[in-house]
Amino acid sequence: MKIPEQRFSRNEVLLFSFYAGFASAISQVIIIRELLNVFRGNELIVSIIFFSWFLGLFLGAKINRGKTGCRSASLPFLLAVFPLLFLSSVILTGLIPFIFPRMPGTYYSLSAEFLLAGVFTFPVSYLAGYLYPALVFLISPADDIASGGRIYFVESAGSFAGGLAFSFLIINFMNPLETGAVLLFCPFLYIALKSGKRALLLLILPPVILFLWSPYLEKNINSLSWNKTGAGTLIESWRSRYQTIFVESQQNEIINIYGNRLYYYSLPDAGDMRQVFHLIQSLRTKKDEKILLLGGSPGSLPLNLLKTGVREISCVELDPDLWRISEKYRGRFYPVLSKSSGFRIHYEDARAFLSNNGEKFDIILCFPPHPENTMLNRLFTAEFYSLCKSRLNDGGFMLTSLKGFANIMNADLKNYISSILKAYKRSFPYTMNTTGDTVYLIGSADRESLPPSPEVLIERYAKRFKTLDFRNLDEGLILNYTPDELKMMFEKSQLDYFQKNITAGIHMAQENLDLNPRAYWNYNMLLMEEEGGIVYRLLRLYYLLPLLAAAIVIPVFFRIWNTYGRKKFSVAVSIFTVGFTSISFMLLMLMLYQTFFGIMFYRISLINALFMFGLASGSYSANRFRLSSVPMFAFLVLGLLSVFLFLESRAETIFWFLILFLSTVFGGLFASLYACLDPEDHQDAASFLYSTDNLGAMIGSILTALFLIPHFGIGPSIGINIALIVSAMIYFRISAHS
Amino acid sequence: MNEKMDRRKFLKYGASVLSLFICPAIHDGKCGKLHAGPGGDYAFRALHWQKLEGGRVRCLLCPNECVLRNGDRGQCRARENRGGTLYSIVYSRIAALNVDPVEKKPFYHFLPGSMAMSVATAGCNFSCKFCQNWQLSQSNPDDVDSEKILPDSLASRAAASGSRVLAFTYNEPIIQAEYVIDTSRSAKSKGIRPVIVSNGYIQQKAAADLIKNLDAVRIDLKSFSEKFYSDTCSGSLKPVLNTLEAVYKGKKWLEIIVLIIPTMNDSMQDIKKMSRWIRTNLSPDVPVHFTRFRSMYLIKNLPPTPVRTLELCRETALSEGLNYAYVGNVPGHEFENTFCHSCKKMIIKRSGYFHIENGVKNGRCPHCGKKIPGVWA
Repeated sequence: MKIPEQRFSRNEVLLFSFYAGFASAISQVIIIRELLNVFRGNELIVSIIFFSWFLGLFLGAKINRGKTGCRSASLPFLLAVFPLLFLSSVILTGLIPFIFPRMPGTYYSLSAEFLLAGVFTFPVSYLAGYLYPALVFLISPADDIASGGRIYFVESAGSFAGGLAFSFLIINFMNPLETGAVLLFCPFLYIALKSGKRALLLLILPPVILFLWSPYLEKNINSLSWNKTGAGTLIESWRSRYQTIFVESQQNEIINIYGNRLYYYSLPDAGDMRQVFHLIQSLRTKKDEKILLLGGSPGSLPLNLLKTGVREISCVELDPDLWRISEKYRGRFYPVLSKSSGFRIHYEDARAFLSNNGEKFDIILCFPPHPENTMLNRLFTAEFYSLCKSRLNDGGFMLTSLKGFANIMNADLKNYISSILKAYKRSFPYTMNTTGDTVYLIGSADRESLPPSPEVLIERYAKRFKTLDFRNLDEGLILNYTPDELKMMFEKSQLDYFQKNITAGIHMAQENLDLNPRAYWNYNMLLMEEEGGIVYRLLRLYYLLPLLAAAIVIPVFFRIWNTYGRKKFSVAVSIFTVGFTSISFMLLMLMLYQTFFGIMFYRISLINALFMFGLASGSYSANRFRLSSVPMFAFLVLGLLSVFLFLESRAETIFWFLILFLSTVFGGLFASLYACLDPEDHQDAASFLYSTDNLGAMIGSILTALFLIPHFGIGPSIGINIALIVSAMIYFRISAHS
Repeated sequence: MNEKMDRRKFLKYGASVLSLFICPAIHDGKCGKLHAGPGGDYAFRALHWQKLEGGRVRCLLCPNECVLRNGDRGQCRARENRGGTLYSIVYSRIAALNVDPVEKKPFYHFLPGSMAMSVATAGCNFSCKFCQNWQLSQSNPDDVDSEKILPDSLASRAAASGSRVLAFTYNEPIIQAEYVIDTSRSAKSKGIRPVIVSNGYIQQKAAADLIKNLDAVRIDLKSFSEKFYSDTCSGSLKPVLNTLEAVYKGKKWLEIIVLIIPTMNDSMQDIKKMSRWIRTNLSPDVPVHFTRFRSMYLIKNLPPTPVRTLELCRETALSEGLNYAYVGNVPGHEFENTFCHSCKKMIIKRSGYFHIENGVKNGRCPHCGKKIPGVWA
């Protein structure tokens, strides 16, 4: 089965380019989401996925320089391979827990996650990179020196369309297998129609069957992998806008709820809430309080607090689907929470709620998951605590939780706890803390609202306890309870240890801030230390990553200098820097989006789409108006400087504008640098430029996430990018003149 | 100097320079030759080992039987071959020191309501994926902040703190056997009762030497399956059972704890076999604590053990003839309390590990007068 050797028309080549861009944008986003569904979702994994993606593009483009690469006949088949690779990656990703079974309750090590993320991303990106020089070659007779920019423009436009399709259509209506089936349908239909053979129309059957069969297939993949690693039987899974929710039944008596496979909570949960319930009771100094509960809660805590005289509880939960599903199963054990008088649910991001809602509360409760990513880190920063403080009535207190310690703390854990405590104390100078595997921080801006010591707290509660009416409460909360149980949260030896190792040196600690997410980094280092993998040891020595990057980059540039001479070398340096900065900028913006506006994984595709639109319009304009590179470098510096404006204003409009503006400049620079090469062999030139661009992106993704942000924070990382671009611009200008 | 460097040469030089930076970073020191220096202060000639040819030694303390070349450390990270002699490098190297209620260990039939000075060094001969104290047990002693406390001094500090018990706990006491033995002797001379909280993974001869110096032993019986021991802890079950028998025959007070982890060691068949073995080979009076697992160390994405599972474990143990089976780590649970095995009435009431109402009088049930197994004074 082979299409007769022929040249494709220009429009056909452009259509192929559009499809390649469309399919790769959708593939990238879905693979990221699927991988984050199996692995822990954080920026480190995202950066590894980006790294692997650009490595694929780099190698694909590098290898397809014209000598052995595809030229024409096999192109439609290669385009059909694209969704096939994508589907394989999606299915294999879902089956990872089945293929590589791990002990229940454990994660793959971060080193293994890095490796698997690379393996599943690479094939699709390699093909995308491989196609680019071939497409440039096919269009070069018509477009000459504009060919590189033209294909870049059309591919980017395809990616823009793919991003929009994902953001507004696919995310709401299609699962990844259905999406893959649609992507497969297009090239098969083209091949069948183009060949003129009716028999080939049968090619469209597999995607159609896959489309119809996909819900069943997906359900089975989920069950298969779940039953290998879960604590019970999977009874429901649901793709919400923000996560995939899994519901598991354990011994037909307990319901466990997970988001993206991370354990959230169990129902019923009264026993698990016992300690914190009584801690809150012991801290209350009046009745009729208004309580704000940030983040969804399993159920028994708000219900029982309402039974003890609390006037009103407002609960803020981002994901309505998670709440709906929890309510459904909560109903088996408790009265429906949403219908309880005095209870209000707000479907909103916690920080947005605090910023936009002027209401004040007497008690704020926040028990966030560990800050494995910046989206969670933003619930541990000084800025967040300051927002909480602004919503507290006089005499009110905030109670929050973080990972604690058993008997000692190592350096990473000390750094982690110190960074959060320092941030917390800035808003709540009067702070108490518990000890144990979970540390609760109790803070107030008012000295009088907290007892002077844990002993006084326990003594006071012991006196009050006798007068409290707990008859209607859940049995798990009150059975055989004595206020002496509070002593388990305030063990003297442990408090002394905490005082000596954390509180005494708090002034030396690095504060956890929105723009310097120390807790996020320290927590991930702690995870890596637990796993004891090679990645941890490599990251411990901060200079190793830049050295390794240099070890990759220097030989490549050494070869360029020897093979192509100074002119091409200066173009290579420029495009490498542009590639580096573009992905570094993208990662920084993704982190900033997560930090300022909350979860971004449902928006990642829209951000990607706009970025691609910018690349498309930039490359088109540079071709159309023959723009030269140096002014565009200057625009790039201006754009990067404007990021500081965004850091100050935190306005979403500026975020979207910057994505669009800077991507336009990146796209324009690519096209103008291609024109600078003045190529005779277009396929070779396209391969040269595209591979060097992606090499820069590859290094940029890894260094930004694992070196720049952890060691310098977000602002200085932007500064370093500006310095790189200015240096590249100066070198390019000097080289052009000489 | 004008000679052009070719790619081969460039890569060769580059790799050499890079390796200078990378090699120290990826060396973890476990069973390795580095890190000999900082342990020097604490080095103490070890017990239980034999010389082999070529300056090597075989450690005979635990069933791992590590064979170590000069400069090597054992799997436990606490014993090192220096010039053909085996040294403990954690002798008096105290990394954690707390005063805890004895119920926290947990000991329920050993001086209830007393305080235990609890100490730990670093290292362990197991590598359990659910270790609560992994920062101690899975660390190299050189990497953990430590304080030098000699045996006499520790015993004096325990006495001064008002503790009646000195507990070697948190990490594995077996790997610091020399220190435990010396300190226990000193503690006993001051009226303090030495105990260990251990995994029981020790050779029989070493166990005999250690146990005779102690007053009580709490053993973590992690499962009744060899597979669980090998997959999850890098150890084996048989030596642990031998130790349990040795403790019982040595007439030391013994309590057993079984941490029940959902899906991993919660098979009632295994609990049944375990209970039967305890009744047959030890005694029905040995208290067994079935405790609740919560996410820890590498097993961090598993829900807590359902309380019903723990209750079923207890029911199974009782039905197999054990007299004292407890549900642990569930504050307020009815079966945290002690019930007389004869009259079934409650004799010790607990709420967590700080609230104890002890009704036992002179070691007897206050209701029926039956002798209650344990150490009560």
